This record gives sequence, structure tokens and C-alpha cells, in this order.
Amino acid sequence: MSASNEEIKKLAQAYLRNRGFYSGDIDGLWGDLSNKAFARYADHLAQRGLEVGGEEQIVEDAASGAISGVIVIDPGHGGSGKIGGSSGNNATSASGVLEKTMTLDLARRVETQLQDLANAMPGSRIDVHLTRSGDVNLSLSDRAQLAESTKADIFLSIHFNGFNGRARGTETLIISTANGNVNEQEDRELAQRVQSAMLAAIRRFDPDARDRGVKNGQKLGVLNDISLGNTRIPNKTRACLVEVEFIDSPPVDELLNTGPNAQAARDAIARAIAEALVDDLRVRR
Amino acid sequence: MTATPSGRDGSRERSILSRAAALLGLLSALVLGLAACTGSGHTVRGEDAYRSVWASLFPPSPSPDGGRSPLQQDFASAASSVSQAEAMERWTRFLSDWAPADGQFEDGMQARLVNWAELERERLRYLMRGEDSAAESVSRELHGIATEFE
Repeated sequence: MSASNEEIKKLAQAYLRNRGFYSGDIDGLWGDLSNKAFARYADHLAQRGLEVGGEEQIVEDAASGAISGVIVIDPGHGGSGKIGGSSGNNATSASGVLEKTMTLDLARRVETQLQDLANAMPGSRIDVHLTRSGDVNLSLSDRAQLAESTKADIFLSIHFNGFNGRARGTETLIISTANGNVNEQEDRELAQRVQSAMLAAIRRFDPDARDRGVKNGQKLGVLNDISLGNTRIPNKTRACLVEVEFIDSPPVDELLNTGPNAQAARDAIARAIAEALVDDLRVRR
Repeated sequence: MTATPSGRDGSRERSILSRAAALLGLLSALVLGLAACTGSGHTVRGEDAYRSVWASLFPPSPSPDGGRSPLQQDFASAASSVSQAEAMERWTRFLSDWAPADGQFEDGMQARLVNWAELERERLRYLMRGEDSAAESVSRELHGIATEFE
């Protein structure tokens, strides 16, 4: 590392530390710890098939504002049977659209929006992986393990709610420290970004949208830290599960499926989620 | 009306009669008042009648599945129980079928319905043991939750 500016070196150290590759001080002194951290980061990029542009790249990335990251999006449910704690489908919209169909649709839209955002930021790299791309079910642990195998920065599981046709609301779930989460605070910050963004997007189309907030009271298999690899690898995957809305509510069904603005609403929600995820990557550069 | 163990019924009847005696001529009014509660989501005391807070919020669908998943159908079925014995059987079966053995839920819907079912069964146990104040405490908690979903 030949960068001479101490502030640039600090930026690079912060960049590596926020991504879990560096555990030393942010002091601008580029010693053995920093070199090893860079080597791990280069190896991390190489494993994902990305070209490492030389030792200066990390400094350039840190200084340029470009972001990079790996995001796993998990469309909830799928297929027809229950596999490893995951049901084929849970909620059904008032017009008969299945939750599993809506989760996959939204996941694909978020993927597209993330790629658009990355393309608009020179030097940025965002790898997006979906846990499923068709109508198949996967166990909860298999979904989470994709985050480990891809060394994901963020894992987002997408679900829709259902109850009695009247309940409304948007909520985002995380696991608490008491339930074994090794990085609840980071998860909460991610979840709050996603929750606020989703809610704002929905309210642009429907002012009756209700904020049910970020909740941490439940153990959720797909967010389990052991499955996410958070107890074994240095870069902790930030994870949350979104329940976008109650799709058995007729106004929500109209908003997302049957109404004239359904496509626009789904794109707006996907864009909002993608921007929230990119924001999360950015603050942890 | 479904039979319940005579020991529990006996003590509950004695308790009610004792209260009724203390209230002298108010026994009739008390019985009438309790009977009227069946339509407002409260549990009838002194008998084995049962009404879940979810019975009106989440009634069984008139169509075979009503667009509901098996998880939702089973919950609605248990919530529509009319006797304590029936309710105990259905909530227990619901929890056996849907509460994950490892405690790891798949999503918010499953977590919510299973947690509510556990509270319903807890309230039911208190009711069947004649521990009315404890049952009422859980009932208040359930009503508080229910207002979030009206």
C-alpha cells in the first residue's frame, strides 16, 4: 500500500473494518493488520469472480464514494409443500394472488432496481443473489446459508401478511440479542431503513398505510445467525425480514395486484427497498 | 354442553354460590349479566362455555378455504370453539401442528398466530382450573393485542 495521505488510509481502514475484514484501529498507519485485511478483502472479491484492480483500488473505492457489496434477497415460500420450516404459501390476496408469487415478483424487482442503482454509481459493484428464481420451496436454513456461501453483506427476506381482510400495516422483523443475534444493532439500523422506505413508498399510493414498526420479539429461522454464518465468519451479515402489507385486505390487493397503479406501486416499493439497501452499504463503507 | 371433571365444576359452583349468597338478591341479575357477555367476546363464568377474542375478528370462512392457508384455517377453527373442552382440544392440536419444534418461525404470520394460540390455551387452562383472575389477566392481554388487528 503506497498511499501517502493519512486520511485516505483511515478511509481505507474504515472501509475494511465496516466490512468485517479489519479489526485494528482507524489510525492511518498501514501496518501488518491493514495489509492482511486487504489481502482478505482481495480474496473475498476474487472468490466472487471480481477482478481486483490492484492495491490502490481499496483506497480509490473508499475515497470515491463508490460502494460494493453482496446482497441476498429471499422471496419467502414457494412450491407446494413444507420444507425445513418453510411453507409453500401462507397468505393469499383478496383476488387470489398467492403470497409466494408476490414475494418472487418483488424480489426480482428489487434485484433490477439494485442493478440500476449500481450502474448509476461509477466504480460500484453490487452482487445480487436470489434464494429462488422459480416456484420452488427451500428450507429456512438453505435460504440463510446462501448468505454465508456468498459472504453477503445483507440478507433480506420478503414476505406478505394476511389475517382477517381488515388488518393493515407494514412491519420489519429482526432477531434480538436475547434470542442469539450477534449483531442486533446493525440489523435494527438496516431494518429501520427498509421499513421507513417501504412505508413511504406505499403511502405515496395509499395514505392509509400503517406503520407497525421494527420488531424483534420472535425467533425467525431464516434469520438465524448460525445459518447466516454470523458466528463463524468475520463479516456479519445484516439481516431482516419484511412483511410488506396484509394482502388479504381488499385495498391492499387493489394497490398491489388489481388496481391501475399496481405495477407502479410494486416498482416504487422495490425502488425504495433497493435504495435503503444501498444506503446501508454506503454507511458501512 | 360438554362435561368437565366434576371436582373443578363443583368448586366453581360453590364459589359462585358463595358469591351469590353474599350478594343476596343479586344472583339472578348476575346470571343474566354473565349470559349477556357471551355476545361481547368475554368468557362465560361458571359453565364451560368458551368464546375467543378472535371469534369475531377472525371467523371461519364460509367457503371451504376462503383463500386461507391451512395455518389460518386451523386458527379460525380453534377460535370458533364454543366449549372449553373443544377449545382445549383444538388449540392444543393447532400448537402441535404449527408451533415449530425448534422455536424458529418462518414468518411474522406464523409467529403471531402461534403466540396468540399459546395465550388462548393459557387463558383456557386458568378458566378450567377456576383461576378466574389469572384468566382475566390473559384475556386483557389478548384484547389489547386484538385491538391492533381490528
